[in-house]
Amino acid sequence: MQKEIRLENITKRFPGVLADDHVNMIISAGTVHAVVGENGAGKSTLMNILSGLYQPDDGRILVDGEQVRFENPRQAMRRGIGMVHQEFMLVRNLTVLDNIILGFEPSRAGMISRSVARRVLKDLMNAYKLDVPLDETVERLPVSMQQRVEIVKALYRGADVLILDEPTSVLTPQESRVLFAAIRELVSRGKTVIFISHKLGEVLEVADRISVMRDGRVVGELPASDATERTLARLMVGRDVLMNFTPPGKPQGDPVLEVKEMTVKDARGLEVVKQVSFTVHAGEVLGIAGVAGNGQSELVKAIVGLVPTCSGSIHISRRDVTKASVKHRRQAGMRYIPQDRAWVGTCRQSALWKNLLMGYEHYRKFSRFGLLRLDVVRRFASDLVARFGIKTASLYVPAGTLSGGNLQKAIVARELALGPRLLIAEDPTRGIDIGATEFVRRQVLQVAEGGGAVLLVSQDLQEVMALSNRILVMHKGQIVGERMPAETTEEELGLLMAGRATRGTHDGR
Amino acid sequence: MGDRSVGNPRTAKMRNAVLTEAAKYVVALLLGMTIGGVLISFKGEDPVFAYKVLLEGALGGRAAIAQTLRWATPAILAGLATTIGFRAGVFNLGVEGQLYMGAFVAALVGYSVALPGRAHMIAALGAGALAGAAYSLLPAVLWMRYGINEVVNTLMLNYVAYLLTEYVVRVFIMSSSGSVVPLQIVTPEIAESARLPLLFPPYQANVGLFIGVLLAILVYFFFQRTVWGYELDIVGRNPAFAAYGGVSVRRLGMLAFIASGLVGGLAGAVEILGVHHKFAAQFSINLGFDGVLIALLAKNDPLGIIPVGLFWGILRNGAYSMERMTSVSRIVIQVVQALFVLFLTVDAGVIRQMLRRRRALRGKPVQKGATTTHGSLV
Amino acid sequence: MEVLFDPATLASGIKLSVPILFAALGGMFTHQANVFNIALESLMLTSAFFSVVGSCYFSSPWAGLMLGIVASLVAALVFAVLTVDFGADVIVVGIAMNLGAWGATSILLELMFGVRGFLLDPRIVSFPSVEIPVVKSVPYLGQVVSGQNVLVYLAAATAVAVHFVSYHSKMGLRIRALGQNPAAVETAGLSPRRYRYLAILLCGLLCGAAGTFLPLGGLSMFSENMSAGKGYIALAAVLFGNGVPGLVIAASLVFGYAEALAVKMQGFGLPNQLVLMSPYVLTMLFLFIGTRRRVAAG
Repeated sequence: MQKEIRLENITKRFPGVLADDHVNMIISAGTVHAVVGENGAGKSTLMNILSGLYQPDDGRILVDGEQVRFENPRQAMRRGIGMVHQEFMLVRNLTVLDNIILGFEPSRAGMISRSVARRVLKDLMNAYKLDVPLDETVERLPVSMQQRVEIVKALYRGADVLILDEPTSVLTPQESRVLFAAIRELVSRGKTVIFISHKLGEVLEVADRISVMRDGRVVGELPASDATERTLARLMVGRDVLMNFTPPGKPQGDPVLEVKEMTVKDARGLEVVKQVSFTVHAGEVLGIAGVAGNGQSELVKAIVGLVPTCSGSIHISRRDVTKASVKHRRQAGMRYIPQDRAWVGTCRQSALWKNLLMGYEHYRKFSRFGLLRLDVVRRFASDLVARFGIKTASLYVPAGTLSGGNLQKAIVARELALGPRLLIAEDPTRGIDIGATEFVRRQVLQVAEGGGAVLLVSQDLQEVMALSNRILVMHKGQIVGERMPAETTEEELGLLMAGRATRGTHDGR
Repeated sequence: MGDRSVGNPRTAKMRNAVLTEAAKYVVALLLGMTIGGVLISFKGEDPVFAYKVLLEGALGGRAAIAQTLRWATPAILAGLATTIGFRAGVFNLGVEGQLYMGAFVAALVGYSVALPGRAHMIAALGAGALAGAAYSLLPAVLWMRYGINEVVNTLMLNYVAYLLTEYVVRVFIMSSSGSVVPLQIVTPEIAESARLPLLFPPYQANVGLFIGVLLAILVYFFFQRTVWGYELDIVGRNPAFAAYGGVSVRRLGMLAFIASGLVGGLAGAVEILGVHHKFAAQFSINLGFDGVLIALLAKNDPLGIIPVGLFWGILRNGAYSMERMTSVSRIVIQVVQALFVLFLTVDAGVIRQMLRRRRALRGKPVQKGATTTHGSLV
Repeated sequence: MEVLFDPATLASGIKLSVPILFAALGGMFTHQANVFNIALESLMLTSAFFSVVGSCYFSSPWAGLMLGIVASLVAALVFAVLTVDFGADVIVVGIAMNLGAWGATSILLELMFGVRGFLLDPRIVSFPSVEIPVVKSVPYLGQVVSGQNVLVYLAAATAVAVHFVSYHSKMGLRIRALGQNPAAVETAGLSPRRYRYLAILLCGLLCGAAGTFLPLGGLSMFSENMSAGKGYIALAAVLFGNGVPGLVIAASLVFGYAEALAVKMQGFGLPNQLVLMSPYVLTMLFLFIGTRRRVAAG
């Protein structure tokens, strides 16, 4: 059941973007083949083509030497190709069993035979040493378990070639290690794994062969044994990497953001942030690291004012804003770059200038007696477009027409426009290209250099380490450790993220 | 829509888009009228003649035009009421009920209160508008405060409004021995001083038309130029972004909901003070629902409401004259209106795409976009 | 107080809940597929009219049911094409269809039967009532359950069937998955469009039965705009149940019972308008309770 995959001259265009440009790749059977590249290099598009979700504009796919064309994922599955997407394709309210069999239900006369499915799955789980709780609803499972469900799902659907798209982005380094073991197990039983990532260390650890992509093209292919992080990084970025930002020294300015013993409950009344305290000073970048879903996003929402706090207090520049509205917090100098730029950070159907004005419409500069001063607004917007190099057809096109990187630039431009005192940045570079990433990171650092305080919450451990003066680690709603980036390692942070205490204790400040 | 305030440059491309848009309206209307025509011919009448009668009845002469303007007035107000809500993401389908409450309270003030001159009229108008606003308060609070679906609640409140006004008039105003036939359940006539001045006496067209047009322009200006209008627009399109930016989504949503009810109540008040001069139970069915269709035809543009409302007046008035002059029931026009809207929602671009896909299936590989999701309102 | 548990009240409550139940079960499928469907009203009305046509022309209520279902399916298809394929706003399409169905059935009433407003015709044959052999003689229970209209029993059977389809059939599972995560359905190689269509057509089928009950559930007459908001009430039952068949059924029964109770109260001198108003007010109350409960439960 081993399968060799050949991709020949695969090309895919999206409006305004050439996502894949004559890509060639050979994936040998029974190996782990890594595809690495920066965000936007075309990895995910290529894999979506291989898994039948997209159709290529040009080029062909060969499975064991035979040309195939996949109109939809089902046809790809029939040829044994299955994909685990970065965003899990699970239905949260359904049981694990129902999720796995969805679309391939064993049935008699249209009625599902769950007992048959259970038997098949038990065998499958035993064979690959991948246990999942079949009767639990998916929403009750931790992320790493959901990922395992996705893998079992792909195997159940008959995958011989398993595509894992950025599988470690939601895992701690330790959980990643468990995943790698599972991958090894799969390969030893004849499966082929395609491993998509931009984290070079883990790629070297798990892969047999590595293809490097940049700007929609394959710029290098080599056995893992011949590769080093350095060579891979150079191929990926196209030049020597100078991503080593130097965070501002060790400032101890006035406290700008003070969070004291804050507790936040979610809609179900569960405490998702527990008794969290910390302070961010002027001129400082405070990083918060943690595996997604450990309370960071609720913490941020509570600080911003989008969800209420249950107990504790929040001060911005010594003003108590615990009960204040978003508007008042913004007036106190808070700005926020949200994780979800498409839905929270912008209004895609509204004109760009309206997007750039958001949050400032009440400023005397922009309105008098409730009337907008449209000429001033227009000057302000076109000034931001020029200053931040936002590529757009005009100020009047809907924001949704901008590319991901430009949209993020627009958000950053707006939030930094009038010199923030406190910037909260949540995964500010997720999913944007390398150029925009450098730009955004530099802007974030400039806020701190200019005397502002920055709270950086990111799932990208390297980003947190590169930009922060201090790092707090969150686990299960609590701060479980504080480290200086120079005195810690990714390893140690990973252990903390997994909830395993190492040395020292957290002092809460 | 909505973004031309900062001097949008007009290009040939845009002119083309405008023409295509206009063609869509014409084709949709023609298709609706054709099906209406088939129904008319089943009745044994000549559809061309029937439509001619409709047009003459609506536009042939002073009397006809005056009556068309009379019908355009509630259409504009109801359309505006709906649009205010839709623009802010509030699906107020209770304009009908708010209109009834406005009509009833305006009649109450009109006959039971004595005030000098114009003050009486203005008080009655204001009371009607406030009644509409008050009636929208319940679904607004239930939605904004408790997150309870406003569509079902406003629909339910329409029925409650029909029956509640009927009940109050019959039991408390006429004394319960009164008639049981709805249209005979009426309040006394309102005082002369509360009536809206007529535009061309003796015809029913009244200054309510100016109120409607003026309000439409005002609402347009509100959305284009004011801070609140800007914020409301964002709330309607993406509440999460608005909340992120510091807009108080609940408060503004409430405001839009109540403003929508206010205009709905005003529509009812104008009907009573301008035309009927007394409140009759179940006096007008569907003016409120027409508002939904009008809002769609005007693409939620307050200025667009004016021509669409006038067009609605033509259809409504013409339908009455068609009913008088031929054996065709005026309800044919309700079908034509509904079909007009339904055909307009058919997107020619999508049809072309589908044809292309079908053709492609036989030949070259097909392109497909990313995952499609379908919006929902629950 | 006796009137609350009077077997006659309960029996009539069950009967009055039938059209709401059918429509709500249909609406449940569209709700599960994440389609907000206020067109239930027009599907019911369309079916009500055409089942009268079928019953008249073929002198059989079953022919009426068939024709009613076919008409409702056609209307559902229109809704599906416009909202699924053309991406039209579900509320605008729903309102336009409701107004259009009202107009069209009124005109067709005039064209086919030559009357306006309502139709009382000896040719309209309703479904019969049937006694259940053993249950009939059980005191109290027999009075409530036995001797109901055939459609009442059909509704009960349908409710059970809907539960099975929803939880134990491939189609049911796929529709539920679709509503919560269309991407999961698409990556399973299934067509979201197809299951959206199926949900809407299932809704059409059940609303067809709902519409048939209005004229053929014993009344043997048709009147203009006969559905009178029952479709909206059914929608409230759907929202209350939030896609869970058991809760949707319970809500429908409560609405029917309340209506029956109100009618009974009329006998005690309660004004007509207040009686007629009660189902609408109750619907709002129920929706309030239902949503609160859900928020509390998370």
